[in-house]
Amino acid sequence: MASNLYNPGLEKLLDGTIDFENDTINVLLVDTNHSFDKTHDFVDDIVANEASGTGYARKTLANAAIALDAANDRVEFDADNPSYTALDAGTIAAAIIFKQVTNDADSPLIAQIDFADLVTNGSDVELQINSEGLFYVTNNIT
Amino acid sequence: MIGSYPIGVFPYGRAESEAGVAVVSLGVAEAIASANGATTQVVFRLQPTPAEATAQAIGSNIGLGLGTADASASGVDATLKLLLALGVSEADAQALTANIKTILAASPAEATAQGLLASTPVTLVTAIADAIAQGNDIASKHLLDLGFAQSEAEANDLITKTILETIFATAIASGQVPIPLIRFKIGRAEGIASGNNIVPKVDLTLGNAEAAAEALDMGGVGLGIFPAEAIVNAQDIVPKTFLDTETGEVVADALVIVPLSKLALAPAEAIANGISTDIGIETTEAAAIATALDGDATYFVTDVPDIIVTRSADLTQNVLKVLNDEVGNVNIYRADDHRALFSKIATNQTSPYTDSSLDPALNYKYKATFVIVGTKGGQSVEVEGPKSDPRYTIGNNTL
Repeated sequence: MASNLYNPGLEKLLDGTIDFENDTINVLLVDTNHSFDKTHDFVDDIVANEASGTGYARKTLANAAIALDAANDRVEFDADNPSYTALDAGTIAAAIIFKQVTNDADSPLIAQIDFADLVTNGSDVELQINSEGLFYVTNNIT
Repeated sequence: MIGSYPIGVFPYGRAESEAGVAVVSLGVAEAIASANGATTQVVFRLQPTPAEATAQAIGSNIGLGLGTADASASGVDATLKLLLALGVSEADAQALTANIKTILAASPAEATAQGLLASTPVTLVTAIADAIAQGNDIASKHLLDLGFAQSEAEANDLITKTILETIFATAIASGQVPIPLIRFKIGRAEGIASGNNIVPKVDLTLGNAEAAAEALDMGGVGLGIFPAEAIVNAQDIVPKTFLDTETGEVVADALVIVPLSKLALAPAEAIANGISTDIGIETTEAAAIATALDGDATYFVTDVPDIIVTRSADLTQNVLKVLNDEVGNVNIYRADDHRALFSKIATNQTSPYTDSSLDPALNYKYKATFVIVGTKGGQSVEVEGPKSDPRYTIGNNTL
């Protein structure tokens, strides 16, 4: 698995359907049965493999922000690290970033953030977002 | 054979005549024909096999055709027309002054046509050799049709149209300001480019490669070649140039204020030169790339153990007990003297923990951390929290 953006989600980011800084941007965790499909557009496409168990709940990303990294010619999308207390929800394999609207059928997927599979054991778990952000858009200047 | 209603018979051939028309046909040797004076129509059909033929018409409308040898034709004064048709050798035609038409057709040889001044159409047709056409000033038209060779066309000034058609060779077209129309048909594919007044667009689709060009604002020229290179000139204010070719290089010059463009192509190279300021070159794709980044899911511990240490009466054991149990297991650190450094003596222990075989002569101090041992990425990992405050032993007392 690798980190990727969903094509419909990328479109929504660029056409303004998703306002990353002002909409409710949530994260959910999926287990190892999840596989990325770039054409997936809403949460109901991937919800079947969402993690479940003690201490698990979808989280709202705090301080979702877009920032220009002029030195690297790119715009970075970042947020605070979400954390889970006493998480016991089996093995978690990736985090799915999405815009929360009203339900899974109308909440668009944005990106999948991959990480090394973690076996939850009732300990606290933190999802550490990459230091460069969840994702970025690079202006490929030549 | 001079003047009106001439009838002429030449030594080595056969001639026919009509009113105002002379026809000359030659066999093997030389033929020289001159027509002087106005309103004379002279048509020469010269078909010598190894010989030479020269035709000069001073007046109007001269036609000349040769089989194998050299031919040179000159037309002077107004409303001249020159026709040259050659088999194997060279042709050189010059038409001067206004309303001149020059048509050259040669099979394997060279053809050169020059039309100067106003209203000059130039047409070149060659099979294998080179062709050069130059039209200057207003309302010129260039037509090139080549077999395997090169072609160059330059059209300058107003209302220029340039059409190039080659089979396997290169083609160059320049159209300049305003209302340029450019049409390409090259190789096995076709390319059509058109620009109309302001904001013209030029599209080319050639051979196995692709070329696309857009010129914004006042005139543009696009050009593409099958396996080689492409050149685009966009002229006047704020030009933009876009090129996409498969195998070759791309050079684009954007020039300001009615620049002239000259394009010259061999099978391999392309160069575009313009004289003025501002040159923009864009040779690669413009792209924005979205990249999602891997994160990390980790156990984390923020709680700090609250510990006490109890020393046995014989001073050989210390029992460390965690008073809070938010996480559970602890790592235990000990210093063998109050001034010594801490080192880990036990990992992932439950509380209470008994530290035995101690030296009764020493005093000890302890710290502890909560620890999580789990599995991440298929590997066992240990994550511990911050260290507790130290606890000291002095004799069998604990501080």
